[in-house]
Amino acid sequence: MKSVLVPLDGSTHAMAALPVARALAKQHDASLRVLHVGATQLPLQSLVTTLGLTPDDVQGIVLEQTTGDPAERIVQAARDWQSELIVMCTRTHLGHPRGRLGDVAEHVLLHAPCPVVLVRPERGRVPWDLRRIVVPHDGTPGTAAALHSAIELAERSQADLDMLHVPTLDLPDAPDTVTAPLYVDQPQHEWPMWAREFVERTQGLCGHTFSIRPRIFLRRGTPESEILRFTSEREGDLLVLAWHGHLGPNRAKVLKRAFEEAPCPILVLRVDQSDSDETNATRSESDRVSLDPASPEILFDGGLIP
Amino acid sequence: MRSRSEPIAEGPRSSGTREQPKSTSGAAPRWGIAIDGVDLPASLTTDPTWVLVEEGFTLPREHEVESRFAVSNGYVGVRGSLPEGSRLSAPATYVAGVFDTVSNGNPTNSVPELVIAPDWTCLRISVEGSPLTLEAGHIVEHRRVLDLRQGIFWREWRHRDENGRITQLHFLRLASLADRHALAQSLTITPVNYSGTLCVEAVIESNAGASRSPSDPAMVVWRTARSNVSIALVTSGILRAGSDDPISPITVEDDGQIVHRWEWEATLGSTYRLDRIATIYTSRNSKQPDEDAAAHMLRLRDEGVDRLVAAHVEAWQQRWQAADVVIEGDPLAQIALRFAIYHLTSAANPENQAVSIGARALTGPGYKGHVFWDTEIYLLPFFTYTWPAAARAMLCYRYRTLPAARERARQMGYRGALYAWESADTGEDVTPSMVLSPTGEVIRILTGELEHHISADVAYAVWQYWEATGDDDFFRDAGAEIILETARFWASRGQLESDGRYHIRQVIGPDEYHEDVDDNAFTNGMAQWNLERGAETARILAERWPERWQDLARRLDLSDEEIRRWEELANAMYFDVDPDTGLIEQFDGFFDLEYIDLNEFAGRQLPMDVILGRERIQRSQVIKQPDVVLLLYLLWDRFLPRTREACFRYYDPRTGHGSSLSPAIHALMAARLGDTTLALRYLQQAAEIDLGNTMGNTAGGVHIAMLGGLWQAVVFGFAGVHWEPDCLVLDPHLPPRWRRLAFPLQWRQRKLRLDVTAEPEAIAISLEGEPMHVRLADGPATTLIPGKRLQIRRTSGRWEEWQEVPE
Repeated sequence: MKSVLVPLDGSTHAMAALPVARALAKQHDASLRVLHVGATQLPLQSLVTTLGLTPDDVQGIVLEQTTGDPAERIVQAARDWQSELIVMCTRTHLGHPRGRLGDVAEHVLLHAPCPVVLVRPERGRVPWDLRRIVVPHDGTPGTAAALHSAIELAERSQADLDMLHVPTLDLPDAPDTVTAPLYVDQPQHEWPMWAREFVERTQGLCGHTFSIRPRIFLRRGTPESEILRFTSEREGDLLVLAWHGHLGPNRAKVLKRAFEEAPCPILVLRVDQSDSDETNATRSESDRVSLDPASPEILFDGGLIP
Repeated sequence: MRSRSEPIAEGPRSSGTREQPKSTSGAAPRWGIAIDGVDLPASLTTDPTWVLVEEGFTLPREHEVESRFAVSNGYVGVRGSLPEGSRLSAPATYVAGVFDTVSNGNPTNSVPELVIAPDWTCLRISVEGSPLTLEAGHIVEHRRVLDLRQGIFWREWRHRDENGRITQLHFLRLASLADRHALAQSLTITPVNYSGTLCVEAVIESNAGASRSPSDPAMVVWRTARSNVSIALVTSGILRAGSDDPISPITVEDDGQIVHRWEWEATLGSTYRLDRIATIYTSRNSKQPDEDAAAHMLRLRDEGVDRLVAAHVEAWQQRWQAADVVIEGDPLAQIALRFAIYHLTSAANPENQAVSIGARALTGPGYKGHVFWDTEIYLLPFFTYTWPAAARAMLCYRYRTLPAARERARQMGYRGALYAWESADTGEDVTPSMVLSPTGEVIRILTGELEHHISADVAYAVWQYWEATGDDDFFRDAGAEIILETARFWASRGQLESDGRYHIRQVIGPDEYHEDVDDNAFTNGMAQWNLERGAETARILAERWPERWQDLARRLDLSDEEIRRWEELANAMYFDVDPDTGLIEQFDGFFDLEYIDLNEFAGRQLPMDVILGRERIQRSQVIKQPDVVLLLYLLWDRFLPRTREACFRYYDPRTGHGSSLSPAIHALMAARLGDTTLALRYLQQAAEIDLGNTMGNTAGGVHIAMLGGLWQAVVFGFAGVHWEPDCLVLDPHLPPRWRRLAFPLQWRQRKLRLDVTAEPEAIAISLEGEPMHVRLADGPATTLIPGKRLQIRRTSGRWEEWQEVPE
């Protein structure tokens, strides 16, 4: 049986992940397994109380508890249960500065055997429904390949899929990257044609033929700012970010900004490093030249790709 | 930029188990394996300067490959898709002039686009019941070769399936240049290390609206939904194994598809060959397309595929004889030019005056097959000077669509003829007027409303054609009317204002980054030229063909007074060259805009309007493509050398080259001005648009106008060809590493062969036809005599005298 894993530490913040996890478990036709890693094993009722679960919360979930190092146990449980997803809060301790990823979440993100959905605590416990998925795509084959599961999720949920490309001044080194065209003879033809090609190449690169029709958006500006601005503007319910697996200085700028400001949960998909060597990954994330951040602009809101 | 489809440096490379073709000079060897005497009905060209090779298989780039490797004959074009398909394969066969608004599955579309005809190329191949595809099993070897010399798309594929069975396949595909209704594909298949059941299914996709002929199982007749054009397609296939009798297919209908199936027990090491021919007719050029297609097929079946292929190869040889450009010392420029000439030749059809060439020719869906000004300014010179009959047919399309151009002018409140910015089969304007965002935001497209220079561009091409060919019949019966009606349009388009000058306001010039501008230099300059030619045309008609003039004058209600008015307006046209600087301002206020140093964006992979944004670019001097510079080239003799140099040096650093049309013209101008290093850089930039990896730009089809620009850059730029009324003028500037540049040209029933060499620095010309004058821009003149090859050498910077030399 497939499962979606939600670690809860008993904090109010942690509970923000639960509505998201519940909806995603439904989408995946998976069981919802709540895991608490405590100092000791608790009686079941105490566990329910400790975690702050209401009778409604308990409906449809499987409660699990273990002891040990929380981060390691969560990763291990996901491995043991072959979880489809881990859904958790970005930080649960008030001591952490706003926006910073908590230690547990960081460890899980770095070591999880499956995609991780991170939910900012500010979201609270309001119900969550997946109607629009925002997928920024830098055009690299690595990102395209990583998007496979996001596309599948969109297909399963019948959610709208908005694919956003924020081109940079230069070109990623990765072979077969597709970005905005260098020549736009007639915009009324070139942009729709380009958008269609962008989607179809993505299909080819991620090995998945879409049964849904994504909308393609091209925006100008700093990728991290534009991605978040766009996600808010489009009222995205899930922001999907492809990630090269590094959180060091000058790495994962978009993801780090998203921990602080994402208006919705973030699905983090690992880029297969065999598709994208370290040099490219570094360059594509930190050294690429952004366009003038002072004047973001909608370049192409191309509508549905037939 | 990287290029995957690139000319091979040597003959086809050896890899693993593939047998090497035996390369010899002169006679091209057979390609691949020939067993039991079974081989494809032609031989691959192995000279690397004539082939474009795509090694391996990179799925995401498939659409680009399909465009580049398209085969076409101006009547029908077929994308270079894999016959067995892949996840990204987009096979398409287009028939010139067949448009519809609801084709290709989009019911809300109101803009006509080239229709995708029923696909005849699909071949499903299976080994012991398992489909053979590039996406399963292991590709031992895979290579696609565009044979430019013969106009054939080749493919060689050696595949090991999951059970270890190795199958070797060779394919060819062509759209006959000798018989434009005929298409062919052949396949040889060899089970290399097994015996077993092979199956090949030739599938005709039966689009909605298709019907089968009750009498002919191999025929599909399909009618477009709104434009109501019937397309009849007949196919015929024969499978052979050695000298054995042909194996007949069984025909089945499978889920709306018509399937011809050959299934047989194949023997290890034996080669089997399948030949398929298709004939295609439409109701646009046939009253009974089904009967014509069937009769044509009968004839071809009698003659056999070998003869069809041989005639096609012969037709291509003739075209190359008339058009090949030889560049020695620069293999990339050489292949780029031949690639350009291949697609230009493939795009044209001298037999059809009802169509022109769309922005992506018949190689892809991009630009919906629409015809723009590029056709006249960028493409037509190639045809005018190497294939006048094709140029004539394209200009006849403009003549046939003149009524639509008149109506367009009338609707917009003008007189005369305003050609549509984008046109399809009828000549009505089909420019999309807006792009709708998903949030409902309407983005207006202004080119259709404001980019009017196209009318002068068409007139220019008519005049150029007439001057170059001396085709009086065309001029008298068609061309003159176009020039008169476009002149009349310009006389109504502007205003004689209080300053005594004729101003044309609210236009878009070729530089489309700046919309709604006043007194665009290109527009005004071309309009002035058009008004003058209108008056001159009236005079010429009156003198040489008075009956025709009277007829036209009556029908168009043209008076002498109106003709005089054209001359007055041309004289009053607002168009100034700054006497101090030699500069021409691109439009009113251009000099006041912000200068942006494009060097700061060196290495960019985005067009400047994307980088700066629409608003800022409109406030800047960054331009999309040559505007003043293009005018200088088109009306070369009207400007002083100082003006040409000053304007090029001023506008070159301000040109963002955001259009594929742009770099080739800068290559041409830089070459004419003697800056061969810059010229070569631009030539390479232009060549890379279709041959490099330009972010999917080529996926929708090749940039046919850019390819025409490449030819012009070499002939009119590097060779420095231009014309005076009765004289060829030459001013060659070869880039340092070019050893030789040679090409043929046609001029007023004459055939010229020009040969420019670097070492020794010399020009040689031979002539067929009447004697004619030639002069060097900075050297002596002579008279060319038919049958004699004249040469002139330059030593120590000085031209010697013309001398006869052996052929």
